[in-house]
Amino acid sequence: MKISLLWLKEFVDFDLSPEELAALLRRQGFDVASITRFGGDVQNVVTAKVESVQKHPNADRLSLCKVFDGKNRLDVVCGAPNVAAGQTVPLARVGARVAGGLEIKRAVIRGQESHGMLCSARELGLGDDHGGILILPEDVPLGKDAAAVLAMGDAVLDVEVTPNRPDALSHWGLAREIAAALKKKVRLPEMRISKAKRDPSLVKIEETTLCTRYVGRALEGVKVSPSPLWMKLRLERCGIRSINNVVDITNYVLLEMGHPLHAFDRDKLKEGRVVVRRAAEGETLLCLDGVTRSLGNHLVIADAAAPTALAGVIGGEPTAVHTGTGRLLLESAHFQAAAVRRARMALAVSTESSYRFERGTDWDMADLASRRAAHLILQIAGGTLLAELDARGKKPPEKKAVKARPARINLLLGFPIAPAEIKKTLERLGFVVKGSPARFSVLPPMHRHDVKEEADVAEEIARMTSYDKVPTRIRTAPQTPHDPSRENSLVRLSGDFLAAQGFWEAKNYGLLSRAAWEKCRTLPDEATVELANPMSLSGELLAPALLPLLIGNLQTNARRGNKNVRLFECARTFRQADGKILEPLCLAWVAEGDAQAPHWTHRPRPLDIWDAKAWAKGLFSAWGLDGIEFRPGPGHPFLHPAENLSIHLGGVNVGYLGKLHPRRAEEWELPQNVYAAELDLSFVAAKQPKTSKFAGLPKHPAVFRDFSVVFPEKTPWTAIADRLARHTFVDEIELFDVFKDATLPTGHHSLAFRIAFRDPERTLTDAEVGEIQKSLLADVQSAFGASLRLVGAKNTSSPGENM
Amino acid sequence: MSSLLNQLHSLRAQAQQDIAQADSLEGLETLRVRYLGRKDGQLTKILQALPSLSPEEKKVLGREANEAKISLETALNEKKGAIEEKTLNAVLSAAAGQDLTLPESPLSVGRRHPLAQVMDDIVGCFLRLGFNLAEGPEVETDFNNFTALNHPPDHPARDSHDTFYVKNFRDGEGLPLLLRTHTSPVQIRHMQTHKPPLSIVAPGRVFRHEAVDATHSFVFHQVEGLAVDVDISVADLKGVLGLFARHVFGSNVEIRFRPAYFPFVEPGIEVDISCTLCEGKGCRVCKQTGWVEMLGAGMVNPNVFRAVGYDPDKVTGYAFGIGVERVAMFKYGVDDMRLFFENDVRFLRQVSR
Repeated sequence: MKISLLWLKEFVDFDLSPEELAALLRRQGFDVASITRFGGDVQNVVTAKVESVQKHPNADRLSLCKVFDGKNRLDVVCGAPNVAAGQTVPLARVGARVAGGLEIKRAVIRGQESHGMLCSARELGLGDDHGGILILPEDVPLGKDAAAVLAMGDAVLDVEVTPNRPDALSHWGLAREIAAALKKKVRLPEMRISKAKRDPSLVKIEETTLCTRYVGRALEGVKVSPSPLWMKLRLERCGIRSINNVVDITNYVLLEMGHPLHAFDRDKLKEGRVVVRRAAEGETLLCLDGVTRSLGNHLVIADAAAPTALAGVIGGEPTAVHTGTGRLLLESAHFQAAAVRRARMALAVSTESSYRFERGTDWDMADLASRRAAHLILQIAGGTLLAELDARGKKPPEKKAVKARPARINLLLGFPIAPAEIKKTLERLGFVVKGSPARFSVLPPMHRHDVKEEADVAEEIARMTSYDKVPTRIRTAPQTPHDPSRENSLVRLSGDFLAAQGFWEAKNYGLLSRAAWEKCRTLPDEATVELANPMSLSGELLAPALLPLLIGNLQTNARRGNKNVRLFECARTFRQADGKILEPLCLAWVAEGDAQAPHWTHRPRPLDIWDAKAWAKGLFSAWGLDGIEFRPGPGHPFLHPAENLSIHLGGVNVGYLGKLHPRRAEEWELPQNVYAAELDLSFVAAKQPKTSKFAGLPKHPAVFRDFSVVFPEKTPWTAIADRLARHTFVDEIELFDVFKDATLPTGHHSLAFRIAFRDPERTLTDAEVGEIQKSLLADVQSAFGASLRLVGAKNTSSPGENM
Repeated sequence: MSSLLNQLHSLRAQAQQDIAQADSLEGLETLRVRYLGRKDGQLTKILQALPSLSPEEKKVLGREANEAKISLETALNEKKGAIEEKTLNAVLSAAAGQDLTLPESPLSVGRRHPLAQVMDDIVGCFLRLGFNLAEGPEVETDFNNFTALNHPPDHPARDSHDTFYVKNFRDGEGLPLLLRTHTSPVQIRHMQTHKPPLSIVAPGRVFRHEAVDATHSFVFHQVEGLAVDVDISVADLKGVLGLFARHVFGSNVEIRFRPAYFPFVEPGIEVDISCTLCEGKGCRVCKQTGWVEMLGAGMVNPNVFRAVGYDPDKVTGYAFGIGVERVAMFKYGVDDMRLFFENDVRFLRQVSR
């Protein structure tokens, strides 16, 4: 809300710079977003009339003007394109100073004498407009100090008023706060009107709960015309466009007293009266903003026939006050906050009026604001007060006194403040304080709807005393032992592991378009969860998986030329099952490009499925879990048909890994070599890791033998390795070559592996190893149809046996 | 016999000369085989002739031959050492010219996301103070997200929480489920299931239905804090938040409390930290005030206690909500919040410590 410094000073005397005032308001709980100053250091600039304009004989763009300042006629050379005879303008006479420190001297410009300067807005420090001179309304008297006429020296503060303080949404409201802080008195604006005849037909309230008060005042003989300059300036500086004097006055009083008002052209009101009712089915209204709206069953102000305003929100065009309007009905009402809020939300129209009503207006203020507006209309637009009616609905409940125990307030705020001080502080804010110093009974002033209990009173004390007085107390929390969730540890362990493997953690919005989901769908559509009100189609789905988001990130990186990108994300995903929403925590990663970044010492090696498997296995090892199993893949269509695996833990599928299908990678404008994986961490978190147990270091050396054996290609290595491992003294098996050529039978390949044989009790002899070797080979021959190519003794000693 | 002895002498002299002239390990090996070879070595042959000699001759020749053998072996070994030393020196001096300013091997190392690091940092600070970690779901009920937190229906404070609603899902009261707009519902969940005293921090992701720009995002992260006991005061809040600010922003940082309004606390407090960029002198970031708005806090509103079945006359508490993005932007000097969610590795590489 924009607040004018000069306007505030009409209600409370203070001598603070705009910055000091902003600091004071911030301390009171009203943040100030910006300060705008109006008017530079300008002296001796007066209002004057341009009587005639002639072209300068020696310069195309200059004019010779005769200007009258109320006493003297002066010749002034002017360069502004918009200067014209008859205008009232600011004139800087010889000796004057304008913004920027320029002093005006008598000058000869291209042979013509000039005794002053006509000023633009910028030259007066009133904005950036330098396209021409500032033209004032014709009715401004001549020879007046322009600084006063243009309210220079004003500053406008953009004050952020929190939703609990609608009472501060006006100049007068903030003046109350400033007065309380500075221990001053606040003045009410002038509102002297004579009493008019009570006319019961003027207003009828049908909805007495939604409208609790409606003060109607009928005026006649009003002359609608432009507002005086001072009013225009104030409204414009506070962000309201000037329309005409009557409409401007309703807005002026809104900014001044915080109470919304509306003026109807009474001649346009059927039967010249209004009724406050709900809209009937099918009723519409052409609103002041030019939009015709269906009114639903919201609260409206209607005349004898049709709705003329959406109560508390916006007026109707057909009954608006225009030039030519002579009879007015001035509305100042009290509407239920929730009703106004629902109407403006449903009809999608927000106004200064609805903003204040939905935050809560003051029941008592309705008549004060009406009087103030009537006073200003009579003063500015003329006319007479014809009739009035203070119509009542159900009176809102009386304010209740609040208990306030100084001891409790001290405990809450953490510093001692004497009961007498509490009492004084509250009284400055308009509270009535009764009762004993052990337990006050505090009645908030009429405008304070937010003070409902002791904690609210404590806030008033804190606000007025300053939190700087609160001491600092440090106590460790009285606690049970900390037990971080397993999911949390998994996130941390995964992050540490993957970061060490060259992965960067990504953070995504967690929302997804259907299209992005279709690309790499891993769940049936009926398991997904949609938003009812997405921002756009790009975020209509709560991400059922993380991979589609990471694919998006890869695309961003690819477009920007980033190479060898590895990303991972740990986040909640969303799916539905049995009418419930589940939020499994997932971990996904993507990696593209080379296994090792390029370097001048070696050729890069592209990433492959074996790297991908290693990361998956490494993760499980980082989590302290055994028993990860890779099984034939899930066969998702976005994965390479030959390179995809599902990942199982304890026999349950917990995720997958694989290479992106080359066709998809191409379509999605990704590099060709992309590996991806996604795992359900919530499931993994349910598996408790086993604490490792130390089994001792081997006491005897192992004996190594290398084998080269031909197997049918369809025999999985894991089956072979499992079989080999079953033999006595087989300690470790290491595959070191897979080889295939024309010398081997079709469908066969040769696997070369090294076995470490070890007896924990003693050193094995060559003969013993020979025996084991023989039975082991016979076994794989019969089990898999394998045939031996080569056996070699490897007499290297095993690590860890310095004896 | 004297001819054999002469032969031995000349052989020894010849061998010594050959060895001295040898310039490679291969050449040396050839000489070893020539003179000392087990089968055809010239010295071996002389030794093989010994048995046919008289005992007197045997004694003299035997002694001399053995001396010759030892001396040749010594010479061979010394020469071998010399050649190896020379070869190594050649290798080392060849390597001496190597340009060690050439780039090192690249390590493949990534890092946690800056937001995750900041969040861990904040949470870690409170865990050390004895707080517990609490978490809650991202899809919430209207009650937990709003009503229990003293945002009754039709309350204008709901306006600052533009909300995403979930399609086709309603809570027990028939209200649509929503994406939590803050981490504060974790307070409600925790208090409903725990009795005071308690102190928790709840980090998490939150959602607001608002347009994205440099300083707004429809998804962001918060760390919620809550402490409830019989005598918690603003002074305790000042204590923990001061520690937090110094932990995250540096030991010189000061905090300032200003009155503010958040419906779930009363009094509500806006917490500013002294601007670390200009050290309080005033700059663009702090809008010349020397202070930067950092987080919202306050004393738990009695209505919140009532909503979870606590007696507001028996307990007091504080709550705070730290915007993780805001902290990260200030800490790393990031001027556009969207960068955190683009996941451009060049950004992540720069902003991660």
